[in-house]
Amino acid sequence: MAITIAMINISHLSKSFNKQAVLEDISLRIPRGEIVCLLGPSGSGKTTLIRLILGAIAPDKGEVRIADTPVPNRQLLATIGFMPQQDALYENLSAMDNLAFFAGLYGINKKTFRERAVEALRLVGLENDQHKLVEFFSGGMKKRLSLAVATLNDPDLLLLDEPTVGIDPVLMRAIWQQFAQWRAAGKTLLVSTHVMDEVHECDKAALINHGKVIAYDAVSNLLKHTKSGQIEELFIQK
Amino acid sequence: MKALFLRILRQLKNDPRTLALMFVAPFLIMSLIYLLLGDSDYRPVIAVGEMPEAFTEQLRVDADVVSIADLAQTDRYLMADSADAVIWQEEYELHIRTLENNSKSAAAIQAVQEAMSELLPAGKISISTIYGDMENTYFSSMAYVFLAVLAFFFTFIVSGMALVRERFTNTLERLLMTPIRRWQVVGGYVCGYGAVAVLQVILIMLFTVYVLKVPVEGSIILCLIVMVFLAVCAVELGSLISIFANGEFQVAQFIPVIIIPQIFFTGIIPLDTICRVSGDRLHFCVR
Repeated sequence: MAITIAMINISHLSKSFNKQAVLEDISLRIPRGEIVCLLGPSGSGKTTLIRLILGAIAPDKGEVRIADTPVPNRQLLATIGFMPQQDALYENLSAMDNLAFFAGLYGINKKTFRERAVEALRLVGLENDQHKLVEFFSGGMKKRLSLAVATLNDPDLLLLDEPTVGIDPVLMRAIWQQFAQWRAAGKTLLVSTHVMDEVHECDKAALINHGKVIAYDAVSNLLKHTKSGQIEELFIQK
Repeated sequence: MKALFLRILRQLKNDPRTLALMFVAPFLIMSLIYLLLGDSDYRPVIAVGEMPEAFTEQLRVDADVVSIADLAQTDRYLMADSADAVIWQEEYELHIRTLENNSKSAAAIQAVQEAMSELLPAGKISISTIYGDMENTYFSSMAYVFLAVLAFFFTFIVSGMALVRERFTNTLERLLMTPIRRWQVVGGYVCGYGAVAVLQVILIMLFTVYVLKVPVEGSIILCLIVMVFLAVCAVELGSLISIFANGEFQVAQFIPVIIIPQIFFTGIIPLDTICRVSGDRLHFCVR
């Protein structure tokens, strides 16, 4: 039955770099159509987990399946929107040319690209800067453009690595509202963050510390285990 | 692949420094070499032993002529830089002796040869130098060597640095996380920088042939084809080196390993003089 197939199914995933374990025996089931956040301090292994899910790096042990297809898989990548932690943009191209390049990689035709680019730039509030070179962008603007790139291929699954760092609170609200809209449209979002407050915007949260998942549950359930309603408590307890 | 190709061209358009490196620097260097090695209006000084008066007169058209009394002093005379060449007649042969093979002696020899062809086209000329031998190393034969070296060098540097930058700004991982295939990435890079390099090569060729007026003995088309292959090689070597470089400027550190051997094998140093077995093999590779 289609409904029981998780969007992402991670089983017993381990990864170490230079004999130092970064992730140990991670198992997660991320259901379709929800916003799940990966919460943890910097260096806890969030980025590595996202790269493993994408298939950018190979795990030492374990397996990742997206929509029941094992990664890495090239066709699968067409349905995923990925926003890396670093901006990963071309400094000497304009915002529009950056979008055009990535759209070209996804094989999006010109007409569709026009519509999507306008839409994506509106979402991140960069309509007026679309012809400016990225090297003249501020940190926050680059972040927003990077998010716009991730949405270009109209993905079913969005893997966003710290998408809201360096973005001002007003725009942050708008972005989270957009995330909620995407969820309503049936998209699945996996968002990593170290900002504990953002957990309230998500359906589920996986708490990661020192390469292990210390808790994974619906956010409302997680909050029940805390005295103050602050999710930080769960990190300190362990 | 097309997206990559277009992106590279757009990036270059917005990057005047790289454009200047590819399209201004080679012309500047080519012109400099031309000025240093090429023909000039220099009037050579030729010291003449016992020669017919008619010949000396003819020689005065292109050179200043002085006379030398004692031919035994020839070498000392040349070393003192009193003349660029000493000529004398011996057993129906015209002898020219110069200090070494440089642009001044070349001018002197040319003057003598011209005078000779006016008066006695069938006459034999024997040329000797005190230092070195008489391989032709003037600009006209060096030009194509430099042409290839310049095209190779600049393409190598620019494409190598671009790929390193791609790795360090994480755009490489991002672009690999799209449905693109690896060979399309490599192909896009080769086409993008290859196209720019080919344009560069054609422009320098035209500049060398039509502005600097380097005489062409062989086929320009063949030369162009070789240059195009060189450019493609340079892009690929640049990509290879980018794996080992941790930062854009480390690409420059590979110049001694990649570029300098290429210069040695361009023909600046005749390859048939090196030890036989490796020499033959190299000849096979180079020719």
